[in-house]
Amino acid sequence: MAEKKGSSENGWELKEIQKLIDLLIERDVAEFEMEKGGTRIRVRRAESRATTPMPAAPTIISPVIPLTIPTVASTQPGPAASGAVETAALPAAHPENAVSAPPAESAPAESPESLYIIKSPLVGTFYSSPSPNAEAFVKPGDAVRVGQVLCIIEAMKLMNEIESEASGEIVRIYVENGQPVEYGQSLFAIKPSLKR
Amino acid sequence: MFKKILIANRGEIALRVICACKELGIETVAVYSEADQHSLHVRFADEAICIGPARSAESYLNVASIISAAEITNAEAIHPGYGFLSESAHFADVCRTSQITFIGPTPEAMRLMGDKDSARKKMADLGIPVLPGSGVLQSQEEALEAASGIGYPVMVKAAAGGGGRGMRAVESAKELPRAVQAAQEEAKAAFGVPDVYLEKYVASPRHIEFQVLADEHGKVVHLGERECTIQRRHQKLVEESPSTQVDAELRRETGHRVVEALKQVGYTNAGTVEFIMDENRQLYFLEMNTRIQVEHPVTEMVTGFDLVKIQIQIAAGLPIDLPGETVNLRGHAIECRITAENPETFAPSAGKIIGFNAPGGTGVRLDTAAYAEAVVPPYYDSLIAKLVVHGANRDEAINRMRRALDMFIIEGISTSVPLHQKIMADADFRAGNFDTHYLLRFARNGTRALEL
Repeated sequence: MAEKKGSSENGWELKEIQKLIDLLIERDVAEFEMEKGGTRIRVRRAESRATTPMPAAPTIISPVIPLTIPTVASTQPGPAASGAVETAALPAAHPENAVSAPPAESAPAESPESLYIIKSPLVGTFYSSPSPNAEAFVKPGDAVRVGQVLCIIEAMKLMNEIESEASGEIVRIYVENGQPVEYGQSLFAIKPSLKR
Repeated sequence: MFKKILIANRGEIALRVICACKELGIETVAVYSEADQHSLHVRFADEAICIGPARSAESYLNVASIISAAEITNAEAIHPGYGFLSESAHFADVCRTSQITFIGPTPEAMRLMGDKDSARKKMADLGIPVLPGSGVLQSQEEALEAASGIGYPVMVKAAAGGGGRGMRAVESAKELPRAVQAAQEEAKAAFGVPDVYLEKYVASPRHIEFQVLADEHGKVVHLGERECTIQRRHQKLVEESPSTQVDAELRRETGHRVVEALKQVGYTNAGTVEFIMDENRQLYFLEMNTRIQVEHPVTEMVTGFDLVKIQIQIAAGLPIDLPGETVNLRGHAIECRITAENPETFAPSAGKIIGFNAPGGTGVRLDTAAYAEAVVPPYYDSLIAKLVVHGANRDEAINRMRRALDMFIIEGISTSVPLHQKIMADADFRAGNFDTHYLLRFARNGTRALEL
């Protein structure tokens, strides 16, 4: 939705506005506001990937601010722009959050369609081995079968064994032993094998 | 004082608790379902943990997930808000076993006062008038005897459910046997159980409730009453304090009796004692809510106290710093519950808010987690905002509410704002002339609202 104020005499030519819009699309910018020659222009794209996950600039901060949206924060693409939407990663608004791995780790480097991501079905603490001194259940490169125990998530003093939902090869482990995890958080990336 | 509190709720009340914590310098942990990923309570908490998929049963009602979230974030206390697990004695038990402070009453108090039957018995024992009623009727003779003891008119009600089913109003002994039989048949069909009981029928009831606070050192105070008579199907739409029907004497006397009763019960933290008021301004105990209520801002506006902060302080073991037993009420406050519903059909209206302008100015308070571009999910209740105003008197409060409603823009979804505008413009509402059937009459008469 673009709002254009002012005419071409006061600072904005139609050609300039067109170029601006093209640039915004090319750079995947969600919103842009600028004042020139006494005229202010605000351009906002309707469906931009960068506007999706973070309410980086919710409009209701105080009762008297109407619909304008601050420009600075909104031009940075959020993690979703990197391709795979990590629904379980904690919002970037909590940088000092100790709970999850940094967002960059949570998005798989390989193209998402080729990997099966095992996500945590529980809130709790992730353990990679059955007991403190034992070997890890799995490590990257291991072949796994459906139903094979991949890890333990401890919740309220109960140890829950998490079973694999896919057969294939462990490509990536997103979390560390002893790390707190939330519901839906990525745990393992498995490259599925063609045969069962 | 706690260093970190987890809020086991969502929406505006989660944000409300976060506000209190921020002002007290307490760190906050939000929990959220996948549907609430972009919620304001997630945004403004210091930490946020996803606890499950959209369905409440798997997220906001999931005790294990919530306790687990508190454990991994080292939260010392949990505020349950209202709804969800706030009145679950089981949840309070689990908090206790997990050595997390539950910000609310003890599980014992919740069991005693949260159960309607046991609360009524207890209150009756302690001298609080209870709406006269019978137990489950075993015979026609028992019905007739009980009814004459209660005094006609009486209401026959189903024991296993509500919502108007298995209910019959009876004017005289002549009609009673047939009414009881009909109600039993209806109850059996609707709830599978034909059990019915009798209750005094109040033709023109009003809903009056008293806010109480009790610390862990034996001090109990009341913060006056709220009137919540404007309801639709037992859902409150408008609340106000003080009530036009309660004078200083009734307030003082009822408040005193409520305080004494709760001292006997050993109640702690916040609670609300609900009454039905009949046509003669007689109050009858209905039930108690052992939690903070949706409409608590109304009391905050007329007393100047922050009830959620006080809840936290009580749970931390601090004594309540309030004078005496009663607090003075200043001015008049009204709250409108703005819901995401069609204002005429009341069909829920989930979806994306594309335009949002919050009203402000003198004496206006808005408690909401809504914002422009927010998506109202279909999985939870439809309350999206509480618009609260305070004025020097009731007239000013009503005028202020009308002004605030006019300036409250929510586009993209249907809301109850137009309905509230009609109520505030109505002469009967202005005159304080209403009972719990108000909205039915209002709807039937169409746009009967008189512009003043």
